[in-house]
Amino acid sequence: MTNNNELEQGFAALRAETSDPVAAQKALRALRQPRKRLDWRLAGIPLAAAILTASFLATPRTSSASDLRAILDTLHASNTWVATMFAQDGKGQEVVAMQIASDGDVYKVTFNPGAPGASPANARALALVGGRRITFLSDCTVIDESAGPVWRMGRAVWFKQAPDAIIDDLLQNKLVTNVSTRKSLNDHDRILDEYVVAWRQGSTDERSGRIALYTEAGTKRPVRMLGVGGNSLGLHSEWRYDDVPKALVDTSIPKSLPCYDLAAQRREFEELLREGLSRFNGKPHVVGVWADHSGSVTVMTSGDAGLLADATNGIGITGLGSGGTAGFAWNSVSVQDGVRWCVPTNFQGVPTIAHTLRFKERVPDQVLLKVQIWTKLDPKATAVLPWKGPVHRTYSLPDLFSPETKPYFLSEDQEAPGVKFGN
Amino acid sequence: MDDRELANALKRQEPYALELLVERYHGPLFRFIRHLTRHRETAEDLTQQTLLTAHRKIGSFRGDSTLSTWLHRIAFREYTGWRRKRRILVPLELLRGVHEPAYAQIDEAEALLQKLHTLPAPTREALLLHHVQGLSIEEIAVVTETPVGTVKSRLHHGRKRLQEPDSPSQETLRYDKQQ
Repeated sequence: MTNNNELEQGFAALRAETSDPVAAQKALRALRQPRKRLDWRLAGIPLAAAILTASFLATPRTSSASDLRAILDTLHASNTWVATMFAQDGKGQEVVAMQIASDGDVYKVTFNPGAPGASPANARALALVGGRRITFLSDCTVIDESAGPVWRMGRAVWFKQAPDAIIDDLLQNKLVTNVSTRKSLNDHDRILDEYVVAWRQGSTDERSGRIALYTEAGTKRPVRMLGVGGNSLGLHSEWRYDDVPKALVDTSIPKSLPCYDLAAQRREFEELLREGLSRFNGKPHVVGVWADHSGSVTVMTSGDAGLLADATNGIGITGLGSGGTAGFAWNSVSVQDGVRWCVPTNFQGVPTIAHTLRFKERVPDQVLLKVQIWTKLDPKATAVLPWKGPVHRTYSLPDLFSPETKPYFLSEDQEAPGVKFGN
Repeated sequence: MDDRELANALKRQEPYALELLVERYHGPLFRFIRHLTRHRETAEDLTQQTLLTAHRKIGSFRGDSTLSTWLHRIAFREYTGWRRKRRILVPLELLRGVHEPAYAQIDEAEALLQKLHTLPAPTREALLLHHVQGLSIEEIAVVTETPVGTVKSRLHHGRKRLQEPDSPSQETLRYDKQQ
């Protein structure tokens, strides 16, 4: 880009970028309901919850687990669909992770009321949870570090049909262009059928990702579908609920559908937490590196804190992570196989960081990854990881990272081949 | 309907005005914020917030500037607010792949965007406002609350920097530390 012509071409290409019509429609809907939008803090929450939330907000540095429990109980009692997990961190402080699904959006919030500087930022996160507006995501991604991360996990949709029929419909409606693999997993008595799919956006932009379909325990009815993928530029994007033909969606299922076995979640979460704390506490390093058959490689690094416990609940299966902003994908096969190792290091507030790299069209022979671990212990720590693999076009990856191969994880005292810390 | 009429219609709370506002400005504002944040979901959120703020505050729009400039100013404030408050974490970017003809335009855009993000934020913002959003220097001065001379200087030096060849490290590895 060394002359004016090239520069102008670049600017012209930037000018050609347009927004998504779906996003514009969402904005229009929000504009048409300004009162509701402005009152988001109270939207959908009974007055009692609002009062509790307000009192929580007004009580800096005295927030406690009992406050949280009271508020969450109220949220549970309301139509706000909340799943929570409680656990103790290494210092005996209570940590809460919860998921909220409302208006079809699923969010995950983690925070530690005992962390330094926990209030009011943490409390704010909770209040925003109840608020459940789109600014919730923006706001929560910028709250104080001690408040922990918020991830938008994807969209939840309830379907009328069996998973295979849904996929057939999606293909028939050309909402997906390719289905390459299917994998069935059992997750807390819910069967997960996962499909790796590709879909087109615009004329040149093919995205790939996963669609996960859960079958409700007992009824075998698919209850949830999540999609996540990235485009050729490495940008994360969701497979949109709005893309789903309305005829497929079962709108009769209330949002308050109890989808979780909270007790089981909590038990497993605590187990994971203990294990994670004992293994990784305080050590900045690469937790795991894996690739998947959609052409993505995820590098998981420990921050000085984090929380990744997705296999303990149904929804988080599509992705979790943070690479500076919310919404990075952490894909499900890897999660299923590897979640036991991708657990919190400690709970000082900074999340474990999942960097998801998406390749355009082909996987290069060699990639030089530079991983900088952002941590209070050593903010400059880096790892350089040469990664070799053959070039493929259709979502195949090297044998080392094939879907049948378990992801490659590091224990505390191991280094991956070629990984070196320090500059 | 020109922008002045649109603004008046918004003030009168005409039902069609909202639709027209979104139709006309959602795309450009989203593009602007997306290029600044490099994150689609954030851009969607901030664009929506910009339009909501504009809708709420339309009564204060006096017409001293164009509607476009006024909206960009709101968008710019939303963006700077987001930038100021967001968590400082480090994203990982990878080296560029092999060029494919079908992706040529996307590549050009992304290549330039990557280079723009190696520039100081004020310079990047000025360049995007001028060359992508089509704002005049005077309008950029209003949006960014910066003297006209400073805007000119940023544009001049920014273009110059963009035309410098990539350093070897930029060629092989993009590592965009967030500002």
